[in-house]
Amino acid sequence: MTVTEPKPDGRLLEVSGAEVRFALGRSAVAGAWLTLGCGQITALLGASGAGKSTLLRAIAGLELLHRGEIRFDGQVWSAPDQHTPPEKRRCGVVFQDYALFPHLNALDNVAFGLREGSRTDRRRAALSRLESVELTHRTQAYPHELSGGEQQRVALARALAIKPDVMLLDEPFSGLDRRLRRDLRGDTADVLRQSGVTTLIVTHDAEEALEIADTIALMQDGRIIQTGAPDTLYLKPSSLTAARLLGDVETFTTRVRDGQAKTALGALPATGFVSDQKVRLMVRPEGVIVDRTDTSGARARISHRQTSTGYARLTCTLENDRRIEARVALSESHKPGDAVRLRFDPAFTHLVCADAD
Amino acid sequence: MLGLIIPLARLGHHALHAPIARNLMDAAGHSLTLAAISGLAASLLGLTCAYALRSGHKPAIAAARLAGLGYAVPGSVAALGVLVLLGISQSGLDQAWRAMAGNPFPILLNGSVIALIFAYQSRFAAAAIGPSESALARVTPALDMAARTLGAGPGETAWRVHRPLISSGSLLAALLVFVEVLKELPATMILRPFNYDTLAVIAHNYASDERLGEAALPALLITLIALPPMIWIARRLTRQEALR
Repeated sequence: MTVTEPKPDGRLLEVSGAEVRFALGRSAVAGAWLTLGCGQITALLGASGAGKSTLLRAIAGLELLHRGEIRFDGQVWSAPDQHTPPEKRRCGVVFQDYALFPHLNALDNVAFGLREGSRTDRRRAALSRLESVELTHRTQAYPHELSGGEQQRVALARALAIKPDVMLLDEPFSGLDRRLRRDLRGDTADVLRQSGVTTLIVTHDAEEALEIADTIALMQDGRIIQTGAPDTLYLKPSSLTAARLLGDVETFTTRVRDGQAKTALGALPATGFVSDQKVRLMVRPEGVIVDRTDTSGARARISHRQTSTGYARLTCTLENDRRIEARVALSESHKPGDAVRLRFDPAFTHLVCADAD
Repeated sequence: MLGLIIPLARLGHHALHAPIARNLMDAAGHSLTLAAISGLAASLLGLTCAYALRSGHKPAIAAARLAGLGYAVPGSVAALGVLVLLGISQSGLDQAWRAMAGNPFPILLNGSVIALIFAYQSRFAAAAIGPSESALARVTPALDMAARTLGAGPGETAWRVHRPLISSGSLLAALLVFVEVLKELPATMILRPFNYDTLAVIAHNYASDERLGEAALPALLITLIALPPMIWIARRLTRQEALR
């Protein structure tokens, strides 16, 4: 991908207490707070129906706000009594189905939003945008002649062509096969970073969010439940829901005794919790250490082994019949029936209040 | 061959050996005028109904669906319905006019071209709504949103996105109704103004008098006028099938 003009600035997009209501008074977005750092890629991650796409459309000006405010660079874009129309916001949007104009070829699609200069200038600008997504050989192709990946790149080029202040991408990779998705993800992130535009990507795919974003915002039931850097969110989720949005997790509920949270798989210092408080210990499957020679740890038997991409998934049954999932290197020779000891790696373990769902 | 060429040849043969009806050119002019105006009006009506159906508003959807029902009604029944409706409107206008100006309102609605066009719209709305609706289905809400975020206001979006995507559907609607009106007989017979013949009417009159020779030329003209639009429609539908 070629380098395009970087555009660093200090302008923030702020969403404060945004609420979007649909028919029958149902709130799709119910008081969402979010700040997009300039030039950063933020992923909005949540299950389907969490209100992610609605929030994205509200930012683009395609939904009205019933409560709260959306501001860009200090200026109010949306409020219950104020609404800047979408055409005045300079938000580039890549829609889930790309929404390419079927009657225009790739070049004309990209040139659609260009208004300055002569027709030749606009076509030249559109061509250079298509170049940035490596599609100069497909300028004359109509959307139905383009592959899914090519359509996605045209949609990206079209949105970037207007030199937007904010880029919004709604599940931009969901219609593509796994391998293409991976390649395109990297390329898209490169293009976005090079253009230096503040970006929000809506996704329900944790892997995608972790890989592409500088910041992840987790959304559940119309609210942002946690925001942070990918590593922090993965390893220190604030609740069970947050933990599950980013991947599998094993949980143990216990009470704090002597400043520690003790479980069958080991103990963790319970800093910040009072004695006898009910806490939930969460551990990622790759943080469960499986050992045949260890004498400490919980006794378990491997009941199932499944090979996955890059690791083996072990299902271990504890003496009390509880099942625990662990992930080990494929080179490990554990097999079903083996007696093992399990303990957790504190680096992959996190403690939260038991009522933090 | 059996369905078109042989009957056409037979008609041609009849036409060559019979005198030409006196008012043939007038009737052809009337037929073309009625069909063209109805086609144009139907494409507008079809588009209005298609937007109503797309709006998601229940009363608008019900009205649009109701408009399409006229296709199932025979022409003579539709004509009577139109007569009743226009009769009521005319008397209403008359009363209002008398109250204001003191003299009777000129008879504008009954037995006029307006009545005919109205009847054609009520009968053939379904033929116009179908193509308009399927053309508008190509304009997904996401296309509207994309255009708006790319800086186009509602008017520009309608012009640069809706118009090119629905124009061929509207043309199809207009041509379908054009052809239907060209052939229409019962409603035309009942509602036409005095001495206002169409090709279908004179073909029918001569044929019912067993003067098949004179009936042949107007029938042939109807076929010849309707053929080019029908060829265009058939080619378009074939192309759509191929694209699918």
